[in-house]
Amino acid sequence: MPQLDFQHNGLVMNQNLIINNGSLSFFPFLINDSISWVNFNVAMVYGASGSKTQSLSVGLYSISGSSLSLTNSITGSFGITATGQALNRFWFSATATSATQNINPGNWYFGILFSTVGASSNISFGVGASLASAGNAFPGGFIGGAMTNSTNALPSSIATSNLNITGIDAMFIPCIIISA
Amino acid sequence: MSDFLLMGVGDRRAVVVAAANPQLQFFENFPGKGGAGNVAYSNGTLSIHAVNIPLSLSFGYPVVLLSASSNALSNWLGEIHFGLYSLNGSTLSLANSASAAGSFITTAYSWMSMATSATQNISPGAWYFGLNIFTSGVAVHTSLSFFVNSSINPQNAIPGGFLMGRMTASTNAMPGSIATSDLDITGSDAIRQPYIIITA
Repeated sequence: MPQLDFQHNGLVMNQNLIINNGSLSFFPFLINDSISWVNFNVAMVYGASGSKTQSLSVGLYSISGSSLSLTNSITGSFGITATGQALNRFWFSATATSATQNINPGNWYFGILFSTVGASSNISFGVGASLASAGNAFPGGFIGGAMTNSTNALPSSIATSNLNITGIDAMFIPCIIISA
Repeated sequence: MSDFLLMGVGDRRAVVVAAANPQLQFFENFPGKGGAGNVAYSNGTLSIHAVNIPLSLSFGYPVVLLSASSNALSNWLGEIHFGLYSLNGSTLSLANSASAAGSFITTAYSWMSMATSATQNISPGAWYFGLNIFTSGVAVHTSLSFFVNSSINPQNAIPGGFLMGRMTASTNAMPGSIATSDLDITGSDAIRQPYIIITA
């Protein structure tokens, strides 16, 4: 089986969606071939002037039936300077996975959690070209969703039935790139 | 000695095949966040496009994203049909299908899930998604739009092998076979693809 050097989910990011402190969202991510996971990048926007520091935790989850299970994670932080990324898009990037892992092909989920320490106001994910917010819950199998309660840690497992799957705030997907 | 070696090869193949062919939980024909907005579809006009499905997938629930701009759609009498086609030469053959009918949320987009006609495990490779919408009764289909991936309008036909197209004649059924030469492959109507997700 070939080994990928990188995988992304489509580099389209004309829209922004604000991120709330302590919110945990699960984003689907299709791996077409095996990849050794080293680096994680997600598109973000800081919509204010002035400096900013924020930490962020990323969990790699597998799904079995209706349960998501944490298999690996990355934690990092970013700093924004008044003359740097402020009012611009930027990539959050982290490289320290909790364990070495070769991700197998298939559907995986990234759970992204913003720290509850410090204000995350004015920080958004860089998302797609056109936002379409459905008024009903997604039918069929689970394809992503968001926790409704605030949390301060990545859960080791979570039932998909405990996730909100209605509307753009629950179902949006940011631009993500991972690389070996 | 030869018997021993053959048994060893057999065991190894079984392990490799299991690891190399995992099952997808879902497949989307394009990343939904890359959608370009919603576009109205003509009544009874079948559109079809190619997808590359990377891993095996159970044909469980085809789902589309619709926008309804008329209150009349809360009692809509039409149907949405999905066809899973394979291509052999220049002929598309229907392998499976799904359909749905119902009402919509008129103030937002609506997910609509279709019921499949038969169970199937879709093998990895090139497949063709066909989608058709037709109204029997109140002609309100013009108020119903699909979330799509493109609004550009190329003036020449898509070159190369068949990738996507649209029937020019109206139909109220998902045809068992379609000659690709019968499909329009020029312009925005031919190349725009409705957002389709298949979940297991």
